[in-house]
Amino acid sequence: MRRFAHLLAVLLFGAGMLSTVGLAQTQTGTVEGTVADPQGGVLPGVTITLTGPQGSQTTVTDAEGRFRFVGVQPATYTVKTDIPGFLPQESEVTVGMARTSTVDFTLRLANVAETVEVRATSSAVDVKSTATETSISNDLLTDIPIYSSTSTGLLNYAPGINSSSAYGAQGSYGNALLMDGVDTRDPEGGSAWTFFNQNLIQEIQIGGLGAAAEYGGFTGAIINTITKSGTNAYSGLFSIRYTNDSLASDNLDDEILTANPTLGQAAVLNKLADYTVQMGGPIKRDKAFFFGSVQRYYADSNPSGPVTTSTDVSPRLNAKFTIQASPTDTLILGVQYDQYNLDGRVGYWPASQATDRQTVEEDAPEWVWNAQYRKIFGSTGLFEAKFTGYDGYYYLDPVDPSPFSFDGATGEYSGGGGGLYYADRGRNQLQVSFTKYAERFGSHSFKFGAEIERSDVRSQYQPYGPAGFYDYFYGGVPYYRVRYGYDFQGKNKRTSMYAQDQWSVGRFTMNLGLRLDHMRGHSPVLDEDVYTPAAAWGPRLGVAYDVTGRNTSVLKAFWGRYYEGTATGFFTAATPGLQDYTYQYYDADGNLTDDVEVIIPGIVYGIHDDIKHPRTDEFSLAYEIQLTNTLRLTASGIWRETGNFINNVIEGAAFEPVQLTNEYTNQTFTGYRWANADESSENFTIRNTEGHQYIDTNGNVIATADPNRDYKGLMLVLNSSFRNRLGYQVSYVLSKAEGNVDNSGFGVWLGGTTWNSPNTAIINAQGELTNSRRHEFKAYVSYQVPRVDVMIGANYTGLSGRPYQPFGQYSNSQLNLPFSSRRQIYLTPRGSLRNDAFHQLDLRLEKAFRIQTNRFGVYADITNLFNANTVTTRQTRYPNTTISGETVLFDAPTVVQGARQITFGGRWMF
Amino acid sequence: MTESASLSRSACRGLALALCIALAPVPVLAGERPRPAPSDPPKLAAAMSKVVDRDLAARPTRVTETRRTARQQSNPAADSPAFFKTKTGILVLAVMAVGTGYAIYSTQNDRITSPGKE
Repeated sequence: MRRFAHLLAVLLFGAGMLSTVGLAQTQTGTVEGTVADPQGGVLPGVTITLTGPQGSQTTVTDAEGRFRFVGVQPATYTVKTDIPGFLPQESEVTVGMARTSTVDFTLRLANVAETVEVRATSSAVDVKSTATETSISNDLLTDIPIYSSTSTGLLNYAPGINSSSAYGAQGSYGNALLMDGVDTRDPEGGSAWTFFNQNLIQEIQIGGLGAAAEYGGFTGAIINTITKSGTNAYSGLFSIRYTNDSLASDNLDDEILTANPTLGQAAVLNKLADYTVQMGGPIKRDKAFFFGSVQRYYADSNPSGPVTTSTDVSPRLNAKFTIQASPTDTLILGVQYDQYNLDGRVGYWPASQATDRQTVEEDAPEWVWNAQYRKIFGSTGLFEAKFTGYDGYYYLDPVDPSPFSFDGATGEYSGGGGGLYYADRGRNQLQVSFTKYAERFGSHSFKFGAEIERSDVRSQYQPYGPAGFYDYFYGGVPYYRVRYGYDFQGKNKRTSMYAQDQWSVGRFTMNLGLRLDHMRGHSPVLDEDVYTPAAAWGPRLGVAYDVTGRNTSVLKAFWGRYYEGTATGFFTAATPGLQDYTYQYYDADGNLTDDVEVIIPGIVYGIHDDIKHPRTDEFSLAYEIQLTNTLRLTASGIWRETGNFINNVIEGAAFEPVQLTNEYTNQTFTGYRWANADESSENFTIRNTEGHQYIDTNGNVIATADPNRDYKGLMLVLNSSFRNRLGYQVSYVLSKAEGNVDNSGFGVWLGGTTWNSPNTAIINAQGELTNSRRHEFKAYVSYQVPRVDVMIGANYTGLSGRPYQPFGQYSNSQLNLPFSSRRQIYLTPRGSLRNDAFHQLDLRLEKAFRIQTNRFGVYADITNLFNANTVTTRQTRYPNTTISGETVLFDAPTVVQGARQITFGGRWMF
Repeated sequence: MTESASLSRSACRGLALALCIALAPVPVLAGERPRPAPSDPPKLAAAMSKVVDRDLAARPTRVTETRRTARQQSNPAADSPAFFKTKTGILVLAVMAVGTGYAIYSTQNDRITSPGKE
């Protein structure tokens, strides 16, 4: 296989070199078009000038009147024509990442009364692409009262994405999170690792529907964030935001507090003091530019749940240099250093249970780097090379290192924080790509590329000192002390290659591509690859049809296969590092004895060598139309099916039926007790769980695992540019995500216990998933009031509540399964209940003052204007659990949306 | 691995290899050839065109109507190093220095240092 991969790499690079061109365009776009005379005849030899923030470039139309600019940095540009005898024409065009913006000119004969004809903005519809994307522009972020310092926070403002679950995919690690091409995900589990300053953002492109072969490593969405750069003019932003608890309301009413007194106070910010200073400009005009940004973010919050205070102090420093050594050579160097200092973070315990005593302190600094080189070969080719990565750690230390206690009868946690968690991470990635534009049997945009990723993980979880992890009680009586921990190391090794072509004939464009991800999970301790999935081939087939032939509407269809990104979480249990899971028993007087039993030895899990990496198949159908100069409508149908789920099972385990009582329905049902733990307790094996058979003590098949997750969605998006006096984006999504592999949390995929027994794998497992929002309505609107220079910005989100179901906690004596999570059985089908619909309206009012080109703005943000108090999460253990000594019944609220709060801000832009 | 799975995998590899090899020489072969003149628009397109044919290309409008223009315009005084000798430039430098200084101070003084890194 390795030889084959090398051969393919050579072929792909050879192809790119032979074509003498190329460029990876994920951070840039293309502007192209035609020039015609008043009778429609093509005009060759017209000089076209593209002028943007980093200078101008020119080209000349060819014999067919065509022109093209490649490798264009995302921004707003003017395109101007110049040819003797015709009136010069000028058009504004907004360039987006990986998008082709088309500007067609029909020139008029020169008229002495006019010097230049200024035309409307060009169409924003890319009639060649089969991708459906949402863009969050700097204008939108400036106008709308939204704030997040992570990609996962911001992506939730896109249609079809909620709780980070994109189009039904897993919310914690299904998304590719890129910042200036740097993959900012945690290489252990794929969740967001890097925090950044929202004021850095030039544009966020959220894609993943109909994505070309150059995009991989996701089963949800791709979040491609590009940061600001310096330009020919000095520009700056000085921003400050402030709020405190006196500006917050309380939205917890008596009904909520009676049901769950431990909620205490509304989730508000006790104090926020966040400032940014940033500026950019030329080092040498048209040649070299700088951009620098500094932020200090301070937030003292009172989160939902028993924890009363959590303090985040995060200084973040960014620098970026852009060097245009020649009109065709661009070098970009960027670096970020930030610290994430947090106390009051919820640690091991669920947020609904943890008190201040059980929180942890977090120490998490990091460096992020980014070097890009780009070369343009006229109007026909582009080459791009990138080296990106980050290095950081986060260490969590409990504020109270004593062991905690868990009462199996009540579900109550008490005591200290229990243990420490130390995470060290590093990621390096090299990407090279070549793009060639050519004309033969239509027009082509070929692209070939390769990526190499090496990412390192070390994760340690240890009890704090010799006391042990926690004490297990039942009904207040101590039974045993649990000792447990791990120290895992893993390395992801990925080599990816892709070839794609955007082939246009007339109004039809075929988007053809093939991607290969060759992944290996390496154990530094064993010095061998332990995770060796089959080569992941991802074909992409798309068709786009320019309906009117005027670049204003496109009908597109797509089928493709995406593979999940690398994650050491898939295989680290198959490396050394797991310690014995032991019970040290208490005697009848409540004293610890010397009787220590190894319940699960610190084994190295087995792993199947024919394992396949998780993947999602997508079929999408979309229609996009430019309704007016600035208004665009997109309608999309999306079908996704996910497979190759990986988890661990107990091979050779035999189960015997036991009759259990379902207290929710007052009926009995058949559960399954692990009957041969003595013989099979070392048989934990990582595999694709599909087809795994659960066997009874007679060798008969109880059930066969059938992991599945499907998503269907209809998405409507109406978008009017936020560059206008009235800007808005309105969307509605009707969707359903169902299956038996949830799209929330990590445990169900990476090292969880769901598939260890039929109790959790089969019983009531099928249904609607946690992040299935039947109806989603999002609206962002901004309006600039004339004369008074007041801006009104608002965002409204309306969502169906998340589904849930009750579970019963059964005992070890009933099921003989260690870990309480293995003994939690759903009492009704998954997703049979649903939380209340969620509604929230946020408002921003800003008054601007202008002095020459300086703009000073003061604003007030009001989040949750109507102080709604929707319960977003409920207590699901039936009939009750105990939190901080209080009995909390099933269905009681555990998380309520944040209360109304006013934040004041000021900013100076020039 | 079963024989059928092995065959299937080999077939996939062969297909992919064939596609890559087929795609590779096309850019080389495809020169800048004249594009055939566009044919008449099909009936569907003509019908759609009547419905959605907007004046993107035909109706001149002023881009200056957009409210962002002033925000986006470059400051003539701010595109040369002399900018830093203006009052605005001096104020910018002062604010940058204070903001950066306090953030750097914060990296030293607000730091939570784990016992694991001491």
